[in-house]
Amino acid sequence: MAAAPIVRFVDVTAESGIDYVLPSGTDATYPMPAVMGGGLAVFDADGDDDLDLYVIAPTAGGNRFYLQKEGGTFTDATAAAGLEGHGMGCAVGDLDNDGDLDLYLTRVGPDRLFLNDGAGVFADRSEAWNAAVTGWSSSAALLDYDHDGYLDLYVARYVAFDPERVCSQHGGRRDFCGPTEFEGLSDVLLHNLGGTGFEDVSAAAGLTAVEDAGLGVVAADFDHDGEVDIYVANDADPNNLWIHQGGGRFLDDGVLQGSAFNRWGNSEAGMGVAVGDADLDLDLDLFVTHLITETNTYYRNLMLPGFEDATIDAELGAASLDLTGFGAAFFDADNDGDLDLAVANGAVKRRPSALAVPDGATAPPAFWADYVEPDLLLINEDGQFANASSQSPWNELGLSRALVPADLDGDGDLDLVIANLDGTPRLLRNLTIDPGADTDATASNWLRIRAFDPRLRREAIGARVTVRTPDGARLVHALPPGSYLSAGPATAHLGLGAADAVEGFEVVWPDGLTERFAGATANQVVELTRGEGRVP
Amino acid sequence: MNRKLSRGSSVGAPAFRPALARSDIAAAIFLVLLTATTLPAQQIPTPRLDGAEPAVSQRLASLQADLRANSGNGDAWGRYGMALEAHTFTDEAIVAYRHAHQLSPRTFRWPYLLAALIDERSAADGVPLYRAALALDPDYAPARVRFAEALERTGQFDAAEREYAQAARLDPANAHAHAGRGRLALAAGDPDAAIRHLSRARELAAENRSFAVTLAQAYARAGDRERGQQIAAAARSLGRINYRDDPIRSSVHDLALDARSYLRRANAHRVHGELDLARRELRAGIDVDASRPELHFALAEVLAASGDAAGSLAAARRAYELHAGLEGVAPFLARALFQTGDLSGALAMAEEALRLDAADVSMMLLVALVSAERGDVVRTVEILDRAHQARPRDPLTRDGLIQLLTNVGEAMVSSGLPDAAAEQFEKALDLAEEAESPEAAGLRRRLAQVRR
Repeated sequence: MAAAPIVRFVDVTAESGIDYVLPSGTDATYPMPAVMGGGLAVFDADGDDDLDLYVIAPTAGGNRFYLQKEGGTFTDATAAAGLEGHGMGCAVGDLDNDGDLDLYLTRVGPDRLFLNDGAGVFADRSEAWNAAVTGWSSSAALLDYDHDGYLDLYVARYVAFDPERVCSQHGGRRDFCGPTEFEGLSDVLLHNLGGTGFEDVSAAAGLTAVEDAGLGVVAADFDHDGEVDIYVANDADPNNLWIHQGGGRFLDDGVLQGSAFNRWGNSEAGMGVAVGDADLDLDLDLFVTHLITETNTYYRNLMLPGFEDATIDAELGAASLDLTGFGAAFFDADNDGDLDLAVANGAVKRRPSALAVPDGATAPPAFWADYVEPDLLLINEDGQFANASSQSPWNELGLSRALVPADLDGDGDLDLVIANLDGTPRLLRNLTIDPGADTDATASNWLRIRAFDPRLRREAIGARVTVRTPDGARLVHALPPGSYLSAGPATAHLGLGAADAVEGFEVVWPDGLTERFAGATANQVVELTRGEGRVP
Repeated sequence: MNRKLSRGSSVGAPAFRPALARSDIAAAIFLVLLTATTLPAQQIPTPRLDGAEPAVSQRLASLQADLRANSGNGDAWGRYGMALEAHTFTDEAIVAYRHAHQLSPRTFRWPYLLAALIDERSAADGVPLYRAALALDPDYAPARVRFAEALERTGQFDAAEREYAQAARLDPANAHAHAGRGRLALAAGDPDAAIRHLSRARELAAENRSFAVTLAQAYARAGDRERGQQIAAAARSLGRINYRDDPIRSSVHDLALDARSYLRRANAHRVHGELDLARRELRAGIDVDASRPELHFALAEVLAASGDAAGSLAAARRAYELHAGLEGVAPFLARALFQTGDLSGALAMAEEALRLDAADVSMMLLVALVSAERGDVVRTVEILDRAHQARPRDPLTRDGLIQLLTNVGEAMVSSGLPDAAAEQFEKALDLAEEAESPEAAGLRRRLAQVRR
């Protein structure tokens, strides 16, 4: 493996104004939700063009909402926003097409839907919208599967949890239960009825026949047939690749398409899932995080035959074998034009050996001493990933769960927010572009690409954008980074390296219409507005 | 006698080979150097035992005492390592195996077990350890397969293929060796070769889901999606756990003394139809910790399969007492009570099972059966209607429901209630048509007769 280039991040949590410790709610009974929770949303809640944070805790009253203020600090606005409560994960998008971002909160129990009034104040409309999905919901993804212009919602559900169940390790010591102790639950598809409510169409969609322990979910058109598909990372069960057959019917083709099991034919403990064109061949690849002793798995999209487990080729196995991965994201950490990876880690059972806390790092809470792990930064070097996690802040130990890349400070590189159980959420500022530092930013140009549909008054979730750059075509999507229990901005980020302009854009809108747009110079936000391009 | 089994049964006995090749000796010396640690032999690694079951603590204490008296004995270190590994004290087990190998450098077992543990954390570190262990005994096929897998994980595909092929020559019945060759062929873009090797693996280990799904994928890659779908569908009923015929590694897991390990071993025996061995494991597990409902429930299932209805009922009752909500126990108990003729008990338990899982059609059928037996027509019709609406997916349950609806319909005809009877026949016909059952034609005729 080649030596990893240095991509500098610095932990700016202490200066951010966020000192809240996300409560897991764990105790001597080892409640399973306490070790699985830790969700996160990064979105512009109040329409002031900066990103705000919603931190989701699995225990009562644990959620916190932070508004970003001028200067990049955050202030607690939980009560004013009406976002108290608890939960597991979330999805964020404009569900009623009124131009602001609404929030769907998954929970162990009835889920909640909060509609935004445009100023960052939310009202609970769960019952009125028929959105109170029951059971243990985990991650959720937005998609417009019927092309009616309103965002539908796929809710992954986990297991039929029984709090009375007592679990232990082989030696007899009590520990958290795993998913195989319980029955899995079928996932739920909610059809948006014109921005007024949801209808549960799971049975008609063909989803109810499968009861797996769903955790991570992404929705995208994996086979470029114009219909949005859904990929679910299941914990210990085979992953699902729900291929949209049209007409609202989905067929799980994960086994034959090679994305249900790993290279060895084993189902793994799927937690988070990242999506992106990692090998630059203009289709979407997948990356799924797993339990310790299993590697994370990289499924390379081959289009016609489906996917292949390319973990070994991409050198992605060794770094993750001794860690339990949750949130993950493909993102261009160094703006060099290819996708790197960040992975949030933290064990769900006592590790075979506890990791030593590095000098100068924060000691974890005593309860979690045998569980804490470092997060990972993996840098893409011509299709092979080098571990760039040896330095601070990557050597800090914690129990990380949701992870979202987003340009929090608006400087043109992607920062990271990571939720930590019984720890403060970590804000890792990317210093690839750092006006205050002695670095050469000329090789790290960028574009932020917003695919906007004025008819819908929102970004066109699922739009596929091919960008012609001097280094070849690049594919980005208008997709909120979902991963594990998380939501983020749908605006696409593209690193350009030394290129100071791109030659043009081609957008395939979610309903299949294709438009071409003229090129643009680097280092700006480009808005591609439907109807303003040229139809080829 | 199976030589692998004889090897597994002699825990701790040195496996001498009469003559070692020079390269083997060099590799063994390399391994001794590689595994040498700075720890003094007297320092016994001791895991944290807070919360461990007493049987586990006692066993480890006893082995430590043995070690203190024989700190220069490699096999004593090895036995201690095995007990540690059996209870997932991996760090300590690695230290113990290193000492075992240092002190007994010609015993194959210790470097092999060490390699397998290290491999779980780093295949790259496992590769030289396997290589050196195989220098001591090149003919142990399970080790050669694990070596090949470690090579595959580290991207050394050609070397892995050679080792899989060698393992298949050593033990043609080693399904994992054939599967490895198939996997490599599939990854190399040769689905036809993959199908050949994976089919052989599947013949040898029909219960292995991993082989089946990889074979299904190979057929899809070869363009035969229909065959792939058939195999994938059949694989759905297979369990997640893949068993390996590796007596040396199995002998480690056999040492685990906690209740969960007894259950795991019992389940492995059940997969192979070894009900006596499963029963023995479960009873031993209950001796260790009688408060585990899953042990009693598994025992109830094993006893039922062995024909011991009374014993099964007693075990199921105990499981239910300990945890009424345990998945499957209430329906099991309801069925067991029904089979022993306790209709009141069966009805009460089936109703309880429905309270826990309102969608359990098999319990609806049981309630309907008992209600019909007792002449409770209203309840019978009401629960059959629910069952019909629930649309059972399981063919056996669906066939049972069709039969029951038909019987109730006939009873209503006999009672002079043709309209009510027709309703039952319509429901039965609805399900039979949905299932494309051959009974649909007969039901259609009967419904027409009743209507006339």
